[in-house]
Amino acid sequence: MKRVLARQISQEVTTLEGEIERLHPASYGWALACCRFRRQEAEDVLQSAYLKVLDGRARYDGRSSLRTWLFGVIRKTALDARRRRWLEGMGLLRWNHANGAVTPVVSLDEVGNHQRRSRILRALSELPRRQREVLDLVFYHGMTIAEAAEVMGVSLGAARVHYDRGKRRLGREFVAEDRG
Amino acid sequence: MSHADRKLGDLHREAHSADQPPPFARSWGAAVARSSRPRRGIRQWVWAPAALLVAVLSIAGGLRIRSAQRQRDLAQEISFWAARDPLGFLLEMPGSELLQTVPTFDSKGEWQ
Repeated sequence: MKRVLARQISQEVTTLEGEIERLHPASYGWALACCRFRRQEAEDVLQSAYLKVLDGRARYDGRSSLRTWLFGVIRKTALDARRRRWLEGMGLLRWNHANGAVTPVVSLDEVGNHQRRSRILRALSELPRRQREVLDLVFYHGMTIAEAAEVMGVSLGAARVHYDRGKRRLGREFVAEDRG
Repeated sequence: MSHADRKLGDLHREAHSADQPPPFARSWGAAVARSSRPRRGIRQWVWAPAALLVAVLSIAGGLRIRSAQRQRDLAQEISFWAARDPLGFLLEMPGSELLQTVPTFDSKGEWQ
């Protein structure tokens, strides 16, 4: 029985692999957003999400688009990873990750852009998790709020509330500055 | 699309401008390698009962300490009032110890 299931999973994975590869850059971008833009964490999360797909802990049933499903798996994996880190009491390591990720090494002519990008990343990182997630899914990945709600596992109404609050909060800092 | 929406879209694109995803083969290959390793499932099975046991023991311990404390407080209160009653001896009747004890008889039938 186990062998039959393993063969079935392996067949499913073989058919999905190409699609997952196509989605890989977007998946990494989403993993980054889930990990407050910490690169190392995002890479680990993405790898763990792929592992879930490979060993059948996450199976695509075709009820939503592959991207929505995969993003949901990545989000859940990021949450699990955060919970595990918290349980392992690795507060210090987390702090190091945070500092290392938001200040990557850049060349001198990129300093201006880098400073602005750092400011944006900081503002996004400071948003509550769900607000950050819904805004990233809508504004970067081009999803509708309904699709974002599906990825986040919340109701459409809740996703709308997070979207509005996040938009208002981010808008106060960046959009108002443009007009002023 | 409003000005604010366009601006937020730009911000997100800028935030992701230096994403540089790792090569797919590397992430996928590492996941494949991890999937062939034996899983550490036992650890999950050990943690749940261990956490439950700790919780039960701490609750039982807490209740026990609380009841012992309550008994100590009661004993202290009783001894306090016994010590603070200077005229208590006036309430004692002659032969009151006889009333508080059960008489016994020896083999000859005499009252002790």
